[in-house]
Formats: sequence, C-alpha cells, structure tokens
Amino acid sequence: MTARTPDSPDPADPIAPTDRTDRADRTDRINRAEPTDPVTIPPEWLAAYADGELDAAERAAVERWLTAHPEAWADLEVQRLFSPANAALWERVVPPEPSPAAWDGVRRRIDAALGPHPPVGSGRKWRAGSRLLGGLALVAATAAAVAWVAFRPVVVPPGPQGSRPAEVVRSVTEPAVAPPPRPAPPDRLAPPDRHTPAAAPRPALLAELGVLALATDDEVTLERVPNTGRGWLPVGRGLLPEVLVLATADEVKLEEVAPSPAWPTGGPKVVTGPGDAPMIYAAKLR
Amino acid sequence: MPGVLVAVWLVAAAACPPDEAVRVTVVVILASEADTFVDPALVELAKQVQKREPKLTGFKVHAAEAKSIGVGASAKFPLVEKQELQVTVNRPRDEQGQIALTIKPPGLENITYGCACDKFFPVVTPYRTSAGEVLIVAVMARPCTLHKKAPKG
Repeated sequence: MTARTPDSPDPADPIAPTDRTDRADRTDRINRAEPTDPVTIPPEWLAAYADGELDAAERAAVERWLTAHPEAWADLEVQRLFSPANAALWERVVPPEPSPAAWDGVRRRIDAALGPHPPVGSGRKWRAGSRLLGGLALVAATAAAVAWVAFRPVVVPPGPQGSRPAEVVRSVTEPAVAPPPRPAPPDRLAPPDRHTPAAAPRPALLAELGVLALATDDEVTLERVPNTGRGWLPVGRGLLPEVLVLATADEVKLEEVAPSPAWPTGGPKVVTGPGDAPMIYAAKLR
Repeated sequence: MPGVLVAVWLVAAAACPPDEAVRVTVVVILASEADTFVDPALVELAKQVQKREPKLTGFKVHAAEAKSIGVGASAKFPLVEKQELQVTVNRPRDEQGQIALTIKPPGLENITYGCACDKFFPVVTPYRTSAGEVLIVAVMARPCTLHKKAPKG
C-alpha cells in the first residue's frame, strides 16, 4: 500500500468517497465491493486495526479486505510491531543518574550557599532574621545544582574553611571522588537521605542481571500458543506454517473408525470428490 | 532362563526404541457462519471445508499446540471450553513415510489413521462453542527432532 495525501484522488480507487472523513460510508463501500474491485482501505485503518481501535463494522471491513488481499498481511505485521503494546521493547535505555558522590557535592554547595551555622541552642534572633535569606539561597542553590547535573563540567568551589577543596568534575557521568561531607548540625540540615533525589532503587535481582540476555530461537521450544497473529513473539519459532498444508488422498489411510452416530455404518466418507483433501466431516449446522 | 529373558528384552528394545518419539501438532480452529474472515494460514483448509458446507465462511485459529509423544503413549490436547483431543501414537514413521495415530475428538469415537509427515488431517467435529462456532481440529505429526538443531521455518 502506498501513502497518499488525505485529499488527493486515487485513480486506483474509483469508488472512494470524495469526503474521506465519512468512515461509515467507506466501510459500507468496502463491504459491498467485489473481491476484484480496486477498493483500498486507508493506510491508517491498518494501523488502527493492529491497535484494536476500529469499531465492529470497520474491523469486519478490514478483515474482509485482508482476506481478498493476503499480500497486505506483511504491512499489518509491521503495524503490529509498532503497536503501543510493544512500547516496553523500544524504551529500554535508562537515562544516566548522578552517582552518590555527585549528590554529595550538590549538598555541599547548598551548605556553602546557606552560610555559617549558628551555635546549637542559641541564635533565635539570627534564625528569624536569616530565614528568608536562607530560603532564597536554597532555591538558587537548588536551581544551580540542577543545572550542574544536567550540563557539563563545572569547577566546584572550595568548601568552608578547614575542609579540603573538591576536585574538578570532568562530566556529569564521571564525577571525581569527593571528600566525605562534614557532619550536619542537627538544627539546620536533615539527614542526608532526605536530600537525595526520589529515584526508585533498582531491584537487586535486576541490578545483578544487567542487560537481560534473551534466549535464541534454538533455546526456546514453544509448546502452546494462542492466536495473536504473527510476529508477536520476539523469540521462538512459531508452531504454525504460513499455510496449513493438508494431506492428499494418497497420504492418508483410514485404518479403523469406531462406530458413531456422526457417520453411517462403515465409517465416515473422508473424500467426497476428486481433488478433495481427506477429512472427517461430522458437523451439523442448525 | 536368564538368557531367554535377555533375548526377550533385546527384541522388545529393538521393536520400541525409546528415542523414536513423535511430535504431534494440533491446531484448534473455529469456523463460523457469521463472519467472513479467513486466517491466511487456513486458506486451503477453508476451501476444502466449504466444499462440504458452504455456509461456513469464517475460519480462525484459536490456538496451536505441539507435544512429543512416545510410540504407544497418549497425550491430551486442550481445545476450547474444556474440550480435549486425545492422541495416541501407534506407529512411528513407516516405509511409506506415514505415522499412525489414534485420535478421539469431542463428540466422536476413536479414529485410527496413518498420515504423511508434516501434513495436516482435519476433523470437523460436531461440537459447537457457546458462540455457535464449529470446532475443527487439524492434526499433524512428524518424527521428534527436538534434540537436534531445528531448521528455520
């Protein structure tokens, strides 16, 4: 199927409605068309069919069209590969996360921006007066920390008097090993855990596995599969061939058939005419 | 006496070699008078069934299952709505290239037949699902080659 612009006429589809938004009308035309009529379905309908977004009438129209045009099954399978149900297959890349040492550096910068800490148990006047200033400094420092995490190398300024200066950070993903942070006064800083980002810890099992190693087709034996079309299993050889090939009359020999109300005495007639594939037919339609 | 017993054991082993299992594939198909969708894998089967009953216009694969069954052993294949197909392997592939099976589909008695390897033998059963679909089972057998590297296909 080739893509067309929504309003361009298609000489291969003479009975297509001029107003292409009339889906009910198009559905009706497809259902009334003969198998040899050059009727096509809009390309987006195939994608919608793969995603289960069509109503019953449109679905039946697409299925009827697919029966007459088996060559389109390949297109349908491509659409199924891009179905939202396969999103997890495409979204495998995990973004880089700063290491604990990098977050320690961020905390030290916030610390430095907040200024010197008053002695414990005193400084009520200092606290009241500097609360606004501290809050503003905290917001600025946090914004700076986010920018530092997102972008490339920055030079970390020396820490407060008495501590070793931090080393130059070469990249976000390769922070230098920083000296351990000085202990936080209990009335100014919360325990370090409360300042760490809310990243969900990776389960230990997944951390050990790393990149999931998939089995190959030779390492998987499929035993029972439901019918969900083709190409939905990324690994494993399907149980069904492209087309079920029936045995011919020369390739089947009926040896023994127990008596049954489903067939006359002597057994069922497995071949009813020349060119018939042998089968046992015991259905009775209402 | 021990010599006689050993001879009997050797003959028995030669008649039923333990590694000559058969891989049986059963395809569960539902045929309908209500819709016209035919699974591309069932085009040939649909044409043959419609020679006997033109009213069956829709054919879809409900499930497919494959099991390795030893010669002389049986296995049950779940079909649909708690129905089962029992399959017994009577003989492995013979000089005509046929494998002999006995099957017991829903609503029918035992059917024993020989069929060429890799070809399907369908049975249109009298069973109808709660949705009114006709249950068809297509059975195919081939020598079990799971211990070898399976060809791509």
